[in-house]
Amino acid sequence: MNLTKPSEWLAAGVSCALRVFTGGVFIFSGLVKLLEPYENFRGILAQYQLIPHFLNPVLAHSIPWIEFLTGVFLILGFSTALAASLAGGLAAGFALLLAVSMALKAGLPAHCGCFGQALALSLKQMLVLDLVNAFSGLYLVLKPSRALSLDALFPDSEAG
Amino acid sequence: MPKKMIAGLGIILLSVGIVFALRRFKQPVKTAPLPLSLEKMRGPVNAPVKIEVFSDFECPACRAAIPEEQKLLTEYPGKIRIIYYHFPLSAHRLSPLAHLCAECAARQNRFWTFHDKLYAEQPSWGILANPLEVFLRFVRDEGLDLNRFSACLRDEAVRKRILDEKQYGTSLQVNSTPTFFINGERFLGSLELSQGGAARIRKILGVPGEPDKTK
Repeated sequence: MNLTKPSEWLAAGVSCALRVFTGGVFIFSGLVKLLEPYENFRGILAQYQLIPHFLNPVLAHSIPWIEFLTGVFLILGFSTALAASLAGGLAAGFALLLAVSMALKAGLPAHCGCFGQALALSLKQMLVLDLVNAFSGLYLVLKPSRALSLDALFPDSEAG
Repeated sequence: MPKKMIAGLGIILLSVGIVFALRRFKQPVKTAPLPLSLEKMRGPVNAPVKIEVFSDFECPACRAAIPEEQKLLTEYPGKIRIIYYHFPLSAHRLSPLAHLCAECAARQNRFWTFHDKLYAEQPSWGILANPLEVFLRFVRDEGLDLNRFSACLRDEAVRKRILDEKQYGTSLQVNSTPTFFINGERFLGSLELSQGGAARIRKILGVPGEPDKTK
């Protein structure tokens, strides 16, 4: 792709940086959970009393894989629009869950459990990170760029 | 099949392969089970249900799980044994001392009364700069030998036992408290203990299940 104006370089740079940041967070978050016994994450989910109990095993199995694969797609810039939508949606959902749980004081773990045992962020820190990722996903959907992405190799595919 | 779809499938397969390879590579170093500490076991040795609990005395979630543990012991008398393992979390400033005192109480066969007191009074000692005086009051209330207790607090072997128990938990990939293993199956927190854990116990004992109120 040809970037001629400084503003195009800037937009491409911002897109790349957001893809790497959000993709990195999602890969890390998914991977640490995938490398631990799944019951550890299921137990954390059980502490969020807003989530129906019967959903916890399904979510504990599926969320880490979705996070990991979404992160990989984002970093590679493959189906970026789809991956960014998913990442933004997930991050917004996590932020909403945290915010409502905090507001209602409804069964909250001390740490969100988002990064397994690798990193213990407080609930407020995680809320900020989720909001950043939600906005990052939104930006990548609204301002797509193919710079340094695999999407550039597939010209007939989606613009993102 | 469009090229993009093939590429997408390739990326997914490669990513999944990397995760499985990492899982194989990152197998935790298995630690041999520790010699059983009978002083930290509740219930008969031959009980069909074995609950191993990794817990931290300063952790509020561990305190919240105590009524659930006691409820299970009451509901199934003689059928359950609980084995306690120290798992002081590094984020908890007062935990090392609390675990040390509890282990020293265990050396005088008073672990469980000390354990119950520590959790019952956790909100009061948990805010102190130094709760040693409170713990020593527990010691006096229990009629423990204070000289033996003081000597025990300085005993490196006691500290090592606590670290060994935590290491054992880490080798089982325990990373939060309370973590329960019910005949080897893992459950985290009081909610899981009271729901999935209780269901598992009923299954082991062949007791008809209760309706799940959470659904």
